[in-house]
Amino acid sequence: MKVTVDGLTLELPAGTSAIDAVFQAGQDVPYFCAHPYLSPVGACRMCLVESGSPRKNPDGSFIMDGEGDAAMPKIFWFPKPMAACTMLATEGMHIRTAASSEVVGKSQAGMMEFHLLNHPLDCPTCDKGGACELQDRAFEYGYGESRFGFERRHAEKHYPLSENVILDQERCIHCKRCVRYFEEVPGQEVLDFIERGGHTFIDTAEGGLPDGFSGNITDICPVGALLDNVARFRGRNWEYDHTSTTCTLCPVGCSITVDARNGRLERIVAGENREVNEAWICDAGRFGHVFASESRLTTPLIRNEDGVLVPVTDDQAVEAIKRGMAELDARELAVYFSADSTLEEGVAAEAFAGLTGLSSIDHWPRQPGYGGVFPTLTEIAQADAVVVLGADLAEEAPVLELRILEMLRGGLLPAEFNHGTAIADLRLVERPARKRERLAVLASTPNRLMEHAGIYAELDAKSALAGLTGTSNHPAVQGAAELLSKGEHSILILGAEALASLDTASRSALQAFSLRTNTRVLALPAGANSRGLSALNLVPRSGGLSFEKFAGTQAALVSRLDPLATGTDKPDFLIVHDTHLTATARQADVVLPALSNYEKRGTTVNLEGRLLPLRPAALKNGESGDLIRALALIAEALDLKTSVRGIRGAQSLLGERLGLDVTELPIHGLRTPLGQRYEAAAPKYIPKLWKWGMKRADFPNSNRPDSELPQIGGMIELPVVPGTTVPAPKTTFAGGDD
Amino acid sequence: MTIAPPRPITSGKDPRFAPTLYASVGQPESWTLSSYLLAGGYQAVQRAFAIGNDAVIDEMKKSGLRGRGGAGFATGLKWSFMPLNDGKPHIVICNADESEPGSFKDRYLLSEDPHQLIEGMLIAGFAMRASVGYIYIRGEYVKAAERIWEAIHAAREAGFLGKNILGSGFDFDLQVHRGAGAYICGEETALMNSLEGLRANPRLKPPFPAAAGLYGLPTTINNVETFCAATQILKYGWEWHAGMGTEKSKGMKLFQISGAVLRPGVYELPLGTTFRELIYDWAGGPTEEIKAIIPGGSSCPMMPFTDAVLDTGMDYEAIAAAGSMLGTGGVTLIPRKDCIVSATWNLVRFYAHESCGKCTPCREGISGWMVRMYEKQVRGQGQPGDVQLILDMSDNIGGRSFCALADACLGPVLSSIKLFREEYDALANTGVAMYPARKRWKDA
Amino acid sequence: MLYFDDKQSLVAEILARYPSSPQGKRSALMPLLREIQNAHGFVSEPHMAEVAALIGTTATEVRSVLSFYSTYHTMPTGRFHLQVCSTLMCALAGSDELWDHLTETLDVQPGEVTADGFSVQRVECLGSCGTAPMLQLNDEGYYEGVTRARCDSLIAAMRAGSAPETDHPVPVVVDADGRQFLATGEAVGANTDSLYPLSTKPKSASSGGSV
Ligand SMILES: Cc1cc2nc3c(=O)[nH]c(=O)nc-3n(C[C@H](O)[C@H](O)[C@H](O)COP(=O)(O)O)c2cc1C
Ligand code: SF4
Ligand code: FES
Repeated sequence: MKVTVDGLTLELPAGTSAIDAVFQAGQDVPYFCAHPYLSPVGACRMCLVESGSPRKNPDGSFIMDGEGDAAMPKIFWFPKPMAACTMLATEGMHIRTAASSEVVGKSQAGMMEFHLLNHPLDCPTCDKGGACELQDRAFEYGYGESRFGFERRHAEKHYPLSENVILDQERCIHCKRCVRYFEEVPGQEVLDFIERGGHTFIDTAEGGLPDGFSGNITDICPVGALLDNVARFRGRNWEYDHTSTTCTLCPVGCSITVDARNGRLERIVAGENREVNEAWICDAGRFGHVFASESRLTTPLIRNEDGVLVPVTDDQAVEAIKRGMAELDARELAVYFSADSTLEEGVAAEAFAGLTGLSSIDHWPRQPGYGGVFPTLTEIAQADAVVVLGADLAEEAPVLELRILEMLRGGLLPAEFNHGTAIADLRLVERPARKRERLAVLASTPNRLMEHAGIYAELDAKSALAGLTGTSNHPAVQGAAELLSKGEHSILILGAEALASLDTASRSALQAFSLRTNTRVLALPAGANSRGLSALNLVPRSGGLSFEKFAGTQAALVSRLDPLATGTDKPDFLIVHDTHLTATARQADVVLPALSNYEKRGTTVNLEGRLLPLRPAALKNGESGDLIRALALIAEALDLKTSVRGIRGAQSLLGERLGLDVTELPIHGLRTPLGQRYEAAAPKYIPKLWKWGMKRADFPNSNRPDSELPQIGGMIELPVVPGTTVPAPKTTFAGGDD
Repeated sequence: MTIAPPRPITSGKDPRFAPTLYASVGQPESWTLSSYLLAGGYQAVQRAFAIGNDAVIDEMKKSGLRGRGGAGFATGLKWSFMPLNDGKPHIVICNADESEPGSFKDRYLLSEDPHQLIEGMLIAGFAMRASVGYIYIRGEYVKAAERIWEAIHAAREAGFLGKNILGSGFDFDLQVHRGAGAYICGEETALMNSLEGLRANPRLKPPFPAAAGLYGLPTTINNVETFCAATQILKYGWEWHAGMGTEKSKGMKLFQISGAVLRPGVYELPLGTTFRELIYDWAGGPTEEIKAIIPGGSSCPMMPFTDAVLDTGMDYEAIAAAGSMLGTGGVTLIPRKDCIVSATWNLVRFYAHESCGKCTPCREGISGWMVRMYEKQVRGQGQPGDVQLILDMSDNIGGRSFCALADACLGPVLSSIKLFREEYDALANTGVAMYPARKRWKDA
Repeated sequence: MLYFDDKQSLVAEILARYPSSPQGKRSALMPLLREIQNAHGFVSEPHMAEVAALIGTTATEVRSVLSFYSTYHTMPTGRFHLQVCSTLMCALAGSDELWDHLTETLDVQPGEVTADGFSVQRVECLGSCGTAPMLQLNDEGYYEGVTRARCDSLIAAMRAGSAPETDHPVPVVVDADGRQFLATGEAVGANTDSLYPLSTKPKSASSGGSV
């Protein structure tokens, strides 16, 4: 299909909207209401263009203009400008933007003037300032002055829609993105326009927005009407350092942008990853970052003769480890670390285990997996039958829930162009029909996804699974089984509860069932990088103890886990590597400050087996290091020569293993076979998304500026022995690079 | 077999014309099934059944009937857009939202002759293979809604609605849905949203209603008068209908007249009848000196009260050639002594109040700004340049909005400025209206 | 007790007008609101929640739709809620004076309810342009052709406790012969013999009215 934009003719796929034609041609048109992942509505009327098309004679030939060879199909122009976001580009269409049409230029300036009539223009105190679509477009396309001359509309300016989202009704330009978002994406009718005409405003009558995915509206609001309350007034957009990285709260691995200012993590916004999270993240991933900049450990600590933890230098910490391990064999040291640790940290731990010959090594949480070829998230969105069994996706993998809901809407993924995802995909419609009958949810307790499922039941995972793969007289189980066997693209998703219930018999029944019904199975990993870490030999070797037997070890390194929070016994010698002074750290002999995943460089593997990069945001973290560094310090204390002393070494080791250069990983990730899986028995694990430290309320002092806090080593209040010299922390703003 | 048309009695333009749509209005108990049957009711639909659905559509095409809701789209053609054999239920909707100021014809058709509408919808439903019809009636028409409900019940009982109607094998039923005070519900896609229990914002087209309308099903919407005309066409035959009116505007039309006129009301006349005939012969002439005519409901641009305009035929083409629109056929006469800015402000206020708020030019331009510009003028706070500003704003609104409501508001605005610029300028420059407010209300 | 608890058959009857799909169920929103308003004169928040539950949506949606339409009230209205059409055709017949007279006589402003149960509202065109000016009572019906004298007598009757029947005059009717008549019996138009000469009689635009 040939389309001509401002005189430039280009070839476009059928179904392209006029607005995407304009952008594909390298031209520009302003827009507010259009959004790549929402239905086009044509409400703001900013994207006006002039357009015309050739017409055919009754005999099918084009009506021509001109004589002989110079004759061209005559273009019949629409008498009035048309909204490009709701117009399909058609063969031979001509489009004129403001670049070549005065009418369009004036229309857009006029429309801009209308948009600004009632807008408070309080940009100096608006968090959106500097990243505001209205501000930018007013600059590019506006008249530069208003002729309005009346008082502006007044409305609620500080109206919390929830703990996390605050609304300024005066700033709203009625683009309806937020309303469409809730209705079309999480499928919740919780926000809508009230009144009509010039009195229209946004509100909810639900007593607040539901938790889950509400924060996304703060990203898509083109003005400062809907704002992230956690980040409110914490910085201007141009002051933030933006770091594109991957969220590791759960195994979905959403793209996020971490915004830091003066070394503090102030805001997280969604990044776009068409294959993974599209443009959405969950509320925990967005708002639950408070811990990263509150009460961080910034120097190593060791326990002195009085039994008090005191800040020390790295060298002093190494000495302390040396002393603590003096009576012990390096093989006695157990190594336990969080399942959101990177692959690089994993290979470093594996190498460390090889070096020392230790047998107690584990990552947590970990649960039995289920092999096979996992479907991708996009395949799930485009499946025709999905059964979710023994899972609470709201806690285990929230954005997977959104991709499943996308399946109910027909799995229409907007096309991709040079300028990115289609700005207006005309296949997306308002209030789309939902094929609820394509989804079955079986879980022991009610969950959010059940509200959207055509088939659902409260049923324990063991009997649900047995019924599904064998026989059952439960109608919901029968329905689910039928759904999977009838579907052409059937997917069964197993959550923590289901995986914990698997035994040898049920595994083989499941295998037979999935072969018979041609169903692909997605077993949800327990931790953000469990899938990746299970490809490394990081489970207890013979004679070794798994993490839940932590208390039985003589000496242990515990990295970003808090086993003593639940009060087990402590090993004789305990090294803790953590970001905060956790209950376990408080009992440690040596504490090494850790990087949070926001500050790490490395690679994580999501539930689809996709390698995704972590990139370090510039957060203040003092002497903190990643697990690679912690292990290197311990190796030093043990007089062992390790080849993996930093991220570079780990990357090259990992690269050899995977046969690819992980430093070159695209931000949208890469799926690659990970090879053998290392499994071991695992205890039952109940996933929880929100953990301690993610909300500001967890830190009583967190709203105080840093200078008011009693400070030691930069950020944390500690019982300090008088007379100890505190080593001045190096102010590092970088992440875990060597 | 068609029925012989009634004896022609009026109109010099069309000797074949006699009221049909309106023939029962005023007859005793005209709204009951028995009087409708007595007047030959439900014969048209029997003829429709006899000739078959495609032939009905053909008949409609040949009759030359054009939609009476305002836009004048050819009805037969519209009916032929409905898909055939698509396996989906089809829906017909009657647009009885009649909210355009100056229009009040549907109200009397609904309350005085509901069976005529039911029969028209039956014919349409049969032709378009529909199984259900909805009558979207504006909420304030309480009497009309009652009469329609009663008529539907009576028709069901008599077997004119329901399963296998009159042994034809055709199943069809009707429902009434009442609006609640929103002019935009007259816009067909907004109407469908309203019927679905949503805010009445107009929908994107395409998809057009014939492809995906109410509940996503193929739907056709027509005005009350259009359906009633269909009844008459099937009753008397397309030739009869096509024989009236002008070359491109066939048939009869209900004209409404209000404002400063002796006998305001609804008059059924053939299309092409001149304003002069309507105003003088039927409505008894103006009650005072007139300066402007609104020819077809408030959104149609005002026309000057001149001989040339008076001799213009009231049909789609002639009024368009004279710079306005036939619209709903609601004629309003505005007296010389009334301030045109104030009169226009009244209408702008109407559109500002009725804007749905979906799109920017209408919500901000009309609802937010235009109405305040007018208010400012009428309060005597206008300034030189204001009229120019109104014109420039209009330029940024016109043709840029999502639906036609914003353009509808510009009808009176632009036409009144064009015709009566001196009144606007005088008010803007001096703060004093050329024609101050005066007493209009009758004591008894 | 909820409003519809003892009106299940009414609810069922309303729902039966629309398809049984979730989409069809939602269509009952407006009729259900209308029922409540007819009974209470307004729709309260608990009522909105009740309707939301009945049709399977949220209170936000109900409030959003309700607030879109101007007929629904969220505040109590009087026993005699009088609405005056103020659009141009009625204004040309004196509806502004009617409004002023009404609010002065009753001593009430929009949003208020008087001790004797009056509330008032200005509304837009109610399709009574041919019988202007007009008053609408409680979403029940119209009083048309309301002169000052009629207005006063209507108020007097309401003050005395009962509102007169609303009316529904048809301004122009057609007789059995097809002649169009005014409700008063005066014939309008002309027959084929008389019409044409009639309309060619010199009636120039500038000659003003016939009265
Ligand atoms: C803002 C707006 C209001 C309208 N109001 C009405 C109305 O009240 N009644 C009506 O019949 N048509 C109305 N229409 C026209 C309808 O959209 C539609 O064209 C008509 O009902 C089709 O019927 P017809 O083909 O029989 O004329 C309105 C259109 C617009 C844009
Ligand atoms: S022009 Fe726009 S705001 Fe006005 S009624 Fe139409 S869609 Fe709604
Ligand atoms: S109308 Fe808003 S982007 Fe096109």
